[in-house]
Amino acid sequence: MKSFTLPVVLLLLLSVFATRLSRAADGGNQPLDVGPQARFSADNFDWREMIPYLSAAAARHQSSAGELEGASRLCRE
Amino acid sequence: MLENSKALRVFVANEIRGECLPDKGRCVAKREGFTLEGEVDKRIDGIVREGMVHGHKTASVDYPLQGQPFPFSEIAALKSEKRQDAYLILQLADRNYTAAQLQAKYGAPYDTNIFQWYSVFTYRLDSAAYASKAVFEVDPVDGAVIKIAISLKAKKSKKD
Repeated sequence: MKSFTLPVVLLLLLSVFATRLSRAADGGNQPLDVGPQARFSADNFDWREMIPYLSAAAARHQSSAGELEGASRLCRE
Repeated sequence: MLENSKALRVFVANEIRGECLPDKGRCVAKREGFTLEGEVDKRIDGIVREGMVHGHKTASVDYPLQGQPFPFSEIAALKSEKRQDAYLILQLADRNYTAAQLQAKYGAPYDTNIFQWYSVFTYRLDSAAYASKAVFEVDPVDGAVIKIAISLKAKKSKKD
């Protein structure tokens, strides 16, 4: 019985050490502190802040349309 | 548009923070060169790339904001491919934001209207270059804001 118990105990000890060693190795690559999760409420959102970005997105059409027109002109020539 | 939306940026940043909690195993903050803002940009780029749908003369991205407590349950951006219009829509997740809070923040609406089962509060901002409107759908029963739809239409310059 004793001869059976000893290898089992050794195996258990080894697995504990292996886990600790692996955690210690991770310690050299600690994540940056990303801080706690930010609280956000609907009142924090202000639709007016989106206007410059909506405007830029809407205007992007103009440049792509211009590019398309330029490309089709080149094709015609 | 989505990359600059405060609501989506906070949601994605919280998602990243959530992954770095001690009991979670997928923390990207361990990677070399990691910055929270950079990772947020990267993920939003991915959301736009994977979610972009080209429909009838429009391009749109619809993204559910789920998996964490958040005041919005969905965000959608839509852009006309024919005209110089862009839209952003936010669906509220709960009934905690009310028309009273809305008016405390933005003042009296430019216009109000009542449809079959909801009312709308409209605000607008015009400039020489664009006309922008925010339409807040409100449940008339409890005054809860249900949806926010922002539109912007570029004005044609006199030269055109």
